Amino acid sequence: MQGMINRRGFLKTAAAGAAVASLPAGTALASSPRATTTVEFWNPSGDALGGPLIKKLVAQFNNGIGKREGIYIDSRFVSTANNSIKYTTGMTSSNSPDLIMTYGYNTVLQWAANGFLQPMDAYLQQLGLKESDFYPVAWDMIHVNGRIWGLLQEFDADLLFWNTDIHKGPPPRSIDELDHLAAKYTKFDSSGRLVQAGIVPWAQGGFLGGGYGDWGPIWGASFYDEEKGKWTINTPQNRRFLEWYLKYVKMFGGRAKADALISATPKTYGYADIFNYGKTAFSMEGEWFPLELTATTSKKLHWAVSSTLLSAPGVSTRKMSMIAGANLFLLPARAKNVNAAITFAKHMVSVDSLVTWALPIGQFLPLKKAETDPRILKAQPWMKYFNEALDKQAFVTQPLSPQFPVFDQAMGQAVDEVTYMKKTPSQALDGVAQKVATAVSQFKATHPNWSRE
Amino acid sequence: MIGTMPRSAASRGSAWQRLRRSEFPVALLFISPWIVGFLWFQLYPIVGSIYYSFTSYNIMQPPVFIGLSNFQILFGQDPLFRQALTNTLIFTAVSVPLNLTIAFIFALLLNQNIPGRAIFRTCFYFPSIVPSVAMGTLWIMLLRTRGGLVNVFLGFFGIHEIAWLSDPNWTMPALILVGTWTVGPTVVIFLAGLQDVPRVLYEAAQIDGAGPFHLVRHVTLPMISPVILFNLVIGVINALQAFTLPYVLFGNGGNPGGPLNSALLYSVQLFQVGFKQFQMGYAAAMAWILFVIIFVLSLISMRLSLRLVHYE
Repeated sequence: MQGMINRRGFLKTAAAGAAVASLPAGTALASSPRATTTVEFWNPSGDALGGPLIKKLVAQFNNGIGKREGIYIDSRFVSTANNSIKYTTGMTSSNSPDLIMTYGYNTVLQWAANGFLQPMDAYLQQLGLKESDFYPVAWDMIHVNGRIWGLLQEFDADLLFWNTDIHKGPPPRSIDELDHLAAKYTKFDSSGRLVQAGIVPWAQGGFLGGGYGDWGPIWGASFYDEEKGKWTINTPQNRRFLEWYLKYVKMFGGRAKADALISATPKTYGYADIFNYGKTAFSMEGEWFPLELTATTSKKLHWAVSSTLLSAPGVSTRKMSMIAGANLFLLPARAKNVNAAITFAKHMVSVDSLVTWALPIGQFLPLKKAETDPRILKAQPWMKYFNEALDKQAFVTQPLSPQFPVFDQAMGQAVDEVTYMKKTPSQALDGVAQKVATAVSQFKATHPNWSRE
Repeated sequence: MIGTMPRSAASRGSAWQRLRRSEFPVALLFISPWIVGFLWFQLYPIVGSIYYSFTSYNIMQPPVFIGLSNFQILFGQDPLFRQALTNTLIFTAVSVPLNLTIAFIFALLLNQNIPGRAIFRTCFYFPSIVPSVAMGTLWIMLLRTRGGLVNVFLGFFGIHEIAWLSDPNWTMPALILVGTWTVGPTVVIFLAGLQDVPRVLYEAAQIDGAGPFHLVRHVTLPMISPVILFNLVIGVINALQAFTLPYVLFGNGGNPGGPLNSALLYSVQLFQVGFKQFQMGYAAAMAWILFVIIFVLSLISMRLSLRLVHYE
């Protein structure tokens, strides 16, 4: 009959009404109900320590500055496993994130040179930062080839730790002293298996594969001329730490014995924790080590650290470590909401946020005001030694070159070649130099605007 | 006016009308999703990668044409390319025949009429459905030098701990060993082939006095030779492109090529070049070299099959 609603008509009207009613709710799922700008923020903080901290800092922003400025941070977790590849894929797509955070520095200059990132120079004023706010080594890491490529949240460097159950005295002051003590603490069982080592230098020399990141600077190595922006790989000085490694290969009766010791130990972050599990007397570890030890293992390791800088024979400089680890905030070249992303980045690198991050983890902070905050020293007394070493300029940057990933992989192989007695140090470094030279020539052919090798 | 039209035009008109009346347009419509997918997701990338192999290309900036430079560097200056290719060819040459032999023996056993045969088949096939990453992670634990189950087992026979994943002499055997765990699909295909062999041939051979070895040698193998060829070609292709297992075994926090790059396989190096060094043109050149190698090997297999494979 006319005017009566039939069943089909009713259902159609109900469905249309439901669709209209769900529209704002659907939009709300992607952004805050009151936000005008959503910043997509990719970060790797899924670990036990970093995950809750990032959530806290993002929530602080969203509930505070973000609400006032109409910015909502959409935080997306990207696992650290191969996140450099995921980040690259994301940044090169049309749906690039607006801001990314890395747990590493290795690929930053490669991204910068290849146009994946946009420089942040224009936003320094908005960020409220200037060069004098930073430690020189931290500034050098972000200010490369005349532009600023990211904002450091923290950086990592190593000092010599020792297991006080094994070594009860003061720390060694020189490589000779370290060698003497290492020989004393190296033990084998009745079937000749290595069960304790003084130190396994190629496995306990920092994040960079083969330990060249720490033992290289200690032995006076310099792989890259930062002033000229050129590689200087196969030099007599650079070979010395490799020659020293051979001493330990002989001490253990072959590299395989040390590998066996390492293989029996659980791994954290992909690195064998032979020091954490009490297998070695000494180790080069970072400022993050004490709190990470508590968070990731239940082992009761009694340790100590000092700011003593190891001296090596014939080396006048006293350097302890290449800065190989760092957290950075980077601006992808295809980011859409740049100003909003910078506003959020400003919050993340504020003194309060940096201290909030560092307190549960233990990190070097790039801003002097943050690093010397009394809360840090109260909570992390060992940072006193790291700060002393930083003041002594004991830490150097890793080679600030877009070819660093090629160099790093090649150096890892070079260390293997030497410690497996397949090549001499000179032959091994020659191989590294050739690989890097090939990468440099390929790079220069297509990147004429990047002046550094 | 059809009557005054030239003969050829009239023929064309009727042919067009025949086409229009035929099912061809409808068929085309139904397969168009596949055609579009093939053109966009397969043909375009294939043609694109040929072009990129002659360029320097990092995705963000336009490709720069550099001619044969990528190929010249690959063959003349890149030691990792040579090492990856050598490792991959060795891996293929050893693992493929080994896996075929193991799969054939398993299939022969599973073809027997024994109680619980279905359970055994499931057990043999199960490892191949475990995700590769999970499998790789499991094998890292099994192959630990000290405390790993493989070395514990070998220890019962007095064999001293082998550094499977850290000794450059043992990394390739480790890869080959892990690869044998996924022979399940090959076993299933062999089993299907075995069950297709007419029983009358076995009976006739037994009447002539053939023992088990002769039955396998002169009846089973010739009759399943097409299946062997299929498994061989697929096995070679898969081995030349192996990626996930070696990457998981060695890439966790370390060099994915293993110590001294002794386990660096071609696909892993291609991945490193493309996605860690952002040299997509160079990686495309590597991909095309691999294609040529696979093509040539497949061609050789097909030519050999004319003499060695028995078709009924």
